[in-house]
Amino acid sequence: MVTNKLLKAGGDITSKSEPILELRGICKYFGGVHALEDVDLELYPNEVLALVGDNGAGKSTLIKIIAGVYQPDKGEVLIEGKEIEIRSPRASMDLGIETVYQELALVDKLDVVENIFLGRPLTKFRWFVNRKRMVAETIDILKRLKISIPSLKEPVQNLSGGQRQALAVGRTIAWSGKIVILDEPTAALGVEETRKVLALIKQIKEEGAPIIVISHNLRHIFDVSDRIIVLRGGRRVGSRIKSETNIDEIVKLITGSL
Amino acid sequence: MREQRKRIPTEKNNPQSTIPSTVSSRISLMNQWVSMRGGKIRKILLSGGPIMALLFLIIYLSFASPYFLTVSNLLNITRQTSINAILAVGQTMVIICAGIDLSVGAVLALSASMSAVAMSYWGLSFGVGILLGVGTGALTGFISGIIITKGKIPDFIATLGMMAAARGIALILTGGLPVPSHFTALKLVGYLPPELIWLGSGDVWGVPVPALIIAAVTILGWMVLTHTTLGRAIYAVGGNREAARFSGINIERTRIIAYTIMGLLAGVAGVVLTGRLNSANALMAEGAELQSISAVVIGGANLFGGEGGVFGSLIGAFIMGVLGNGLNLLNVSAFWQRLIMGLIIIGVVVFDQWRRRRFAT
Repeated sequence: MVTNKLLKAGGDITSKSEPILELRGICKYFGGVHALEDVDLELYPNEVLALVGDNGAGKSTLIKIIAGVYQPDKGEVLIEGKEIEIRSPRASMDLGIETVYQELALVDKLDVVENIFLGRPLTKFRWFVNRKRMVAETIDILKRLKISIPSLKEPVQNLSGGQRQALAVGRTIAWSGKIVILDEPTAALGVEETRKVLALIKQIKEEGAPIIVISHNLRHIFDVSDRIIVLRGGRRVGSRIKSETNIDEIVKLITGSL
Repeated sequence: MREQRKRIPTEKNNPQSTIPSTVSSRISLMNQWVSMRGGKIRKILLSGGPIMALLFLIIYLSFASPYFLTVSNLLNITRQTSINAILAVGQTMVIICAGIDLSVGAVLALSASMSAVAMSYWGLSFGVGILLGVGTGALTGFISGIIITKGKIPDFIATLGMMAAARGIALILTGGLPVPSHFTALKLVGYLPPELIWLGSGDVWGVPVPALIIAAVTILGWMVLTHTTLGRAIYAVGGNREAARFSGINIERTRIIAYTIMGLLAGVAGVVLTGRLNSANALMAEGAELQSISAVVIGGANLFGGEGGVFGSLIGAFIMGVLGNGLNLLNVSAFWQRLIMGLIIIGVVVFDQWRRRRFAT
């Protein structure tokens, strides 16, 4: 039944709605390496967009440009039709873009609450952190996303891989991001943990935020996404609506045998 | 405490869970119990080590020497420890931030020389002299921070350079002589004011002023580290610099502020030490940087950053103070004292590493 609902959602995506995020002709070079070459990307409201490709295809570089970690050498970024420049991770966050990095951006020795509010603690009297409110909001967020974590006071290094991933993903919700980016959210997770993270992605979608997700696992991609963009060797080689494609075709696009 | 009891909804409250609720609730209850028990035991072993060592030391010395547990001796220990304790609070912030400051002894001497020279040769008032001393400390700390972050120089190297430079400036300023002195080229305007002496050796209703200063500095340091956005940013920067960067924390600013606070506290310690000695000189407090680093490490901070606390460091400073005092009372020669102190620092760190490996999951 879930699949049906998603199929419908996938079918809703038509060219008539305006993309919330658009990248045009993005190029990025690292020395002589052309990481990205003239890549376009468009993200429509309320869709889960999967970004797939082999290792070194440029997926992570592309999302790091959206996240403000890298600046493109060429090309433009538009949000809701307006051209903008994302100069830093902070600028990206201020635009409502929430990113969960592959190398989980959690501070191991800090606890759950502090990691949720990392970099933007709730404050009181300007300089002081408002721990009480942060705890209350954390409980609220975790409840809403059905994430179960034994203790909020536990340093996150003591949590399981799945709990850590859920936390990193959940953090994006805390900021009610306009756009959520997930880089390999199911890498290195067990079966049950993966299931939970995928459920979480659907939950985020239901909350109304469009998502860009990177994954190597096509089954996961087909489970959660509405549309798939394939990168190969730093170039975009295809975009497919999930309901109109299959794993075979995507694999062929990735490997270049199509 | 209260937060620990506020449990997050478990599987039981999750209607979509595929696991039968009775089983999953039992599992989660068990997990909770284990994590609670484990948490408490771990917490004591992780953070209670230094305080237990200090208590053991105090109990042992109380039996070993009849002079140890007397009011005058304990006040004496507090006075002697005050300098290291003040420095350790600043060093804690720098170390949590994954840095290290080797210049604190030199900065202390420079600040002390600056305020003493200002008061006895330049004829400036007590208040201005103090401000000049503490300000000099803060400025040197700020400069170290700038060199480290903007110049992208390793903390170790930058502060090593600052250590030599600050001693140099202090020597130039004082002409290599104690201040105040009659033999300098500068005209001696006056001796150090009584207020300054009071800061170092006075007392308020029997409590030494340096003890009050330690208390104030420690409480302020604790407030900053645990309750302010700056303090939490310091932990984040030291714990995972990449994560801090990704989450939009201004890493450079955070580190510069940590070094500036360190410098400011070195200035405060310089003023207090000048008051206690009734004199300042360019070579005072040699080795103070290593003492403060030792105190912080004994107090349970992680030299790689992200972990530690002001109270632990305070206890670390007192362990060193009590140990030095006890060895004196037990008539251990100064040569042996150095050896013992060194062995104890190494022993504590070895124990600390073992404890972390053993009790961290």
